[in-house]
Amino acid sequence: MRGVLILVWTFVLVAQQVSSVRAAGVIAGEILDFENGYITLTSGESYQLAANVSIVDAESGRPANRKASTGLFAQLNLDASGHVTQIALSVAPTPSKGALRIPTVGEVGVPLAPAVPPKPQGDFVKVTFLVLVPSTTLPTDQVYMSTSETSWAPTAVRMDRIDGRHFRVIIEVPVGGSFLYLYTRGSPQSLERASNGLQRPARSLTLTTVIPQAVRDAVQHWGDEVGTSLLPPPQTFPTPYNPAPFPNLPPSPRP
Amino acid sequence: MAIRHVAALVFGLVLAALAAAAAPASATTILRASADKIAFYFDRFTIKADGNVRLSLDATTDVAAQTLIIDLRSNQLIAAGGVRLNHGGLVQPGAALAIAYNDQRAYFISLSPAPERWTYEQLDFNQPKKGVPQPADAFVLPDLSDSVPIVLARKMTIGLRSFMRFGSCRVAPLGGLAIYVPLPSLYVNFSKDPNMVQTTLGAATVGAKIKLTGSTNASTALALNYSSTTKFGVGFEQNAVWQKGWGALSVFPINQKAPFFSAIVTDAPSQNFGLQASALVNSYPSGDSLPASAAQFSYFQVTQSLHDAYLQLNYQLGSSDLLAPPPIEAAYGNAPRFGPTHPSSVQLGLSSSTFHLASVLDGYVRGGYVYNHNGDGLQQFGGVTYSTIWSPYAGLSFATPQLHLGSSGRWSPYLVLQATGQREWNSLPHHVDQAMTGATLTQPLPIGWLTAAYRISNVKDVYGAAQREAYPIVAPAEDPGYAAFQGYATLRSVSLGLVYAVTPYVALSVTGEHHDDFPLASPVLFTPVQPTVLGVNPLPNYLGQPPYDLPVAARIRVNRSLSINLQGTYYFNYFGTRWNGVQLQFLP
Repeated sequence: MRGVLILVWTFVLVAQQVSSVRAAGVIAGEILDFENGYITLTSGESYQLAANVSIVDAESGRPANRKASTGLFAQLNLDASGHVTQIALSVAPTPSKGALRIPTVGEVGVPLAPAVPPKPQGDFVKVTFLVLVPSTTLPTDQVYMSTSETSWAPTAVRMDRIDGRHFRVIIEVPVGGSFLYLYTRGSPQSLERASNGLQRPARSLTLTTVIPQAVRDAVQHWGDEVGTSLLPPPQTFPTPYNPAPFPNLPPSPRP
Repeated sequence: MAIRHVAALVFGLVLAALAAAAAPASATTILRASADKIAFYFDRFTIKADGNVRLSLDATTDVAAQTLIIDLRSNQLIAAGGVRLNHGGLVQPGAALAIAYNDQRAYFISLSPAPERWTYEQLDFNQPKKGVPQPADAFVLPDLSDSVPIVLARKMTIGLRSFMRFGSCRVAPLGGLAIYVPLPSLYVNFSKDPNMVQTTLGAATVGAKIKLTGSTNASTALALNYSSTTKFGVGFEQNAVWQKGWGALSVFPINQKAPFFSAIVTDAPSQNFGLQASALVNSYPSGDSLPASAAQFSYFQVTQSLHDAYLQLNYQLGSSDLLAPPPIEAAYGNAPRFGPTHPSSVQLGLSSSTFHLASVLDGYVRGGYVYNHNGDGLQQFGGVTYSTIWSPYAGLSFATPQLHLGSSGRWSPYLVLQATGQREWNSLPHHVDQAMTGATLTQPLPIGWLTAAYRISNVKDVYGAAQREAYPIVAPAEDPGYAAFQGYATLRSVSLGLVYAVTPYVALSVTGEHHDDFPLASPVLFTPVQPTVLGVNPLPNYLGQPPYDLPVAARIRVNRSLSINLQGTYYFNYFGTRWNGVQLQFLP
């Protein structure tokens, strides 16, 4: 949430700066760089330091006992010529004191960027996944999601069965990037396959908004289906040929 | 002789994997960085490096800065504070450099000596463009103040959209809790290829796998597993992926006398044709150059896609004793003596895709032919030992979509009906019929849903007039009723389940089940409870299910770096069994 506020705040500052009103005032932002007589904020703007610039602590108003460096927040007092006369440092964003003023083209060297709204980054969205499983899924089978967010661990996201054919789970999915996933019965060996019986590429979900989503998928086949049986789990020798359809018949005198 | 072939196969697979691993990662952008402190925030999938940051972008370009942020989800980086951009030996001072790899653009605030904004299109650092509009958020640093890093290191290598690799580092195994364990190195894969986690290692009661090193297309892992059969074991696994396939090799447990050598390799030469081969060898040392005994199992799978179906050929070969018997009995030492059997099977199967009948039924058919052979005999019947058995089979499944039963106030239940049947004919004259019919009635609730289910499975092993020859009367004194069992089983189950799942943070499910089976559950005749292994589903047609059980599962997301899965089944003190299959997982 704090990240979003910072983004919006930065955006508002930049948008205001585009209007280029030349007046003394106060600018606030997060520091990118402080060198060569300039301070640069994460808005991308650089401000020239006055010769007598003072650096103070934003809370106490006393001379700061730390250097202006990347990641700290600063409130800049500008004089009428646009030079920074005072830098008030803090570790968190502080509301600006005094009227915000906007630098001019001459102060920052080149025209400012168009006010493109920032893309939502770093947020998570609640997504409900509902998957229809193939009829080869036994009533006692458990279904999981294997995702790129969980290093493709096959049992990382356990789903809940809601009826004979559907499993469901609600998870948080990051906004901005591609969320990749596949369904599995709990092992890499059983990762879902495409309708052609071959391994399918990962499913992809790319979210661009923070509105909760619902996704419906259907699995065609499981990877460990082999004719009338299943592949034995890794490092397991298959059980000897069993003519009976029961895996655990008690020993008996057989003919 | 056979072991040589198997060894050759495994060796070939090793070579293939290593060759794949050595192949150049052509499409992956590799970044190498060092700093006083490098932290990986799993919940944000972001890396932050502070103090004396040195970043290599490619062979001719590197960057020095105070701070570096890499967002691995959006493939963007920001280097800030005293930036020195060195391209081909020409050093450019600047306040910050931002690179958006998805857009192939870099934004630079030059200080030469007055601030200027430069843009490098197509990441061509030879041609800065001045005055090109830049995004408003190009240099915005993420707020990581609420996150706890799960990896702390001083050196790292990143393959964008693929992997990250840290040198000597400290890792927080329980994400979100700042309790760190030192590791010599760590590899984390986040590529879009799930095959980097394919495994040939078996399941464990308690286990952890640490990926020590790797690249875009290969990784090496150390496995620490404990199970009741292997006890504590240390294993090694090598994974490799290539354009159309993957391979995995493992040796486990290397700290014990009889390790398993496992290999699996898959390739799909075309979009409609796939191959998979696997070999498993277990040898027992003798102190000599040859092991005292060895067993192997291998399979080969060929898949050809058809229109709305696929055809698959599976060949499986097992050798429970790969070696000739030693000339003297003493040579066995303590090694187990395997029976010299070499079972093999060939399955040719056709599986359809799901088809739809008038939007009312979904159907699925499959059928095929199975050939089983063992020179030492597969089954004895009527005084004859059968070494080869042919088994054609055919199966059919139908299921309805969700049939809504109307809506009244808060009630909007729906029904799902399913029916599955399969017959398998055997050349040894008997056939096996399996039929399952089930219905689930689900009521969505504001907090989740409530599901009632009923299913009945009929399994018949039909020998006709010879039925009692195949299933002779067995009437133990403790359970004389079992005498009525002659290969026909009926397994009935009724259940009522409640799932609470409203948020991503907590989910809880409780299901009460009653099983009414024939033959009746009997702890004398059957293992009371089927062993539970995480990721391995229960076997079908398991006899002796306790009459009442209560599976419980909970999933709790503690924070964005740690979730806990807890599950188990309560058996109401069925012959002394209360809880079984209790599993606790700590997951990212």
